[in-house]
Amino acid sequence: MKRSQIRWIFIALLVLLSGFFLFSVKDIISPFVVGVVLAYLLSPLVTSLEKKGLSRRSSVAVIFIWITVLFTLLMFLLLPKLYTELGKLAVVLPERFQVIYDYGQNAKEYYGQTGLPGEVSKLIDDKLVQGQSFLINWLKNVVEDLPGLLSYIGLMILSPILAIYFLLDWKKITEGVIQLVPGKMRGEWYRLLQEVDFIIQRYIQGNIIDAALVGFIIGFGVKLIGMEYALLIGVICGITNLIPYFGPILGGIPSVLLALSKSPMMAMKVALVIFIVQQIDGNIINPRLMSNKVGLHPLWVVFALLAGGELDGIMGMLVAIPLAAILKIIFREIYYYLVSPKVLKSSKE
Amino acid sequence: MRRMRDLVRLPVICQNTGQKLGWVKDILFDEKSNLVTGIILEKDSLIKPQQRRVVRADILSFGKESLMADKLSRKRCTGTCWSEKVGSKVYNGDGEIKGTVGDIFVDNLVENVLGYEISDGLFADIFKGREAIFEENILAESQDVIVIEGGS
Repeated sequence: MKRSQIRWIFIALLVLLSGFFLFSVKDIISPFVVGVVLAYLLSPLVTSLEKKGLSRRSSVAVIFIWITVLFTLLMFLLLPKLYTELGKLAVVLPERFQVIYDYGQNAKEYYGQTGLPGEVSKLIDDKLVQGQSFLINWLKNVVEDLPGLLSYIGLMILSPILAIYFLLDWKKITEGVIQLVPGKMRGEWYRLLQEVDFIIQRYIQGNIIDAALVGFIIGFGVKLIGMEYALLIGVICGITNLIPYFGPILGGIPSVLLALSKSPMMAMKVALVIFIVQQIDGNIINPRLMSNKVGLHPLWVVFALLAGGELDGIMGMLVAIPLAAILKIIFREIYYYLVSPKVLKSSKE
Repeated sequence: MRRMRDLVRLPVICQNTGQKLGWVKDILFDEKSNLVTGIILEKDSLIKPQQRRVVRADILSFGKESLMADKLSRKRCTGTCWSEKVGSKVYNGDGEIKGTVGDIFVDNLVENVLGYEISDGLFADIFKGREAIFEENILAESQDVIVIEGGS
């Protein structure tokens, strides 16, 4: 057997065995993936500290101490407030739901008197029963999955520790990955990875700052109009704002419902605050932060979001845009390679 | 010979300090003299990316993975942008549309414009590949249109 044949058999066996092994231990891979993602996100911060004269080890230590302090502060300052708000909400929620239910009943009676067809009324009742059973099933599933969820959280605690190891050797790891590509193609791969990196970093940075600003302004705004649970509304609107286009609606609905349980006037005011902040975000903040950061046409953005939502719900929507941008770069590079004129290919050889 | 597309998004590094000055956002060239006049450098910032024009003379080398620059001067840099030229219609001598400009070819030192890559649409490109036209085959050229030799 020729040496080249042995090489191919060796590579094929290596790929097959690695694939089989990784598939067998797939349940423990997620902390490694999260560790890599964390290391990737924190890498620019570590590099910027290195540029200021700190060693790699010290930079990683400073970043992690800083994150731990920030996280602890957040836990001590924000969490008790959020916990109190959620506790208060849990107490008053049944009675608030009753208020919303009464609104519904009043509306039903009113439309019943004005001649709402019987089928429509029955349909509404059926849908309410369906919604109720959906909620019960969902709660049942959550309770049943709790032990699994706890062990998953336990496994996830490993991620920051793994991220430290990844960060310490980040340069070696990335260079190692690039070295896997044959020397002839390495330059093009390097350029491709640089572009992907450029887009993801800018997208994540811009989106997180935008979401934090929007959450803060909405929370502050609803506090000013005298609405309770301002922190909770701010957090909901901030997190959902990470999802472009649909996020404001996803965050706005629970916030307005929460306000509706107080009074219809308060619901109007909260809706107005959210609307005004979203207008400021859409016209001033977001364009400045995200100006053409992913290089996707708005139509593609909407399509990617809907497709992401269809495939994996909210999580799918969160990762849809950077993923679509990366796929666009990869397909574009393949396309330009395939269509490039012969004269260019021959000049490169 | 190189494509301008391959230069866009490359990082620009200061040769003396090793500091990253920014990214190539676009490339400028003079359509009359067919000379590359400079680049549009984008410096990333959290609030809004800052752009500035850099003359060709300030760029020491155009590598495959990065551009090396010296001190950036304040010299005025004019010319047509690569991104504006891409998409311009290409006609032959009989007035038939041959396609649109897909990319621009420059020499390896990125000093002279050599010609254009012509796209005939997605499927035609995939099945037949794109064509190349060189400056010597161009009869007339304006901002939006290029007329080349030949006909049916």
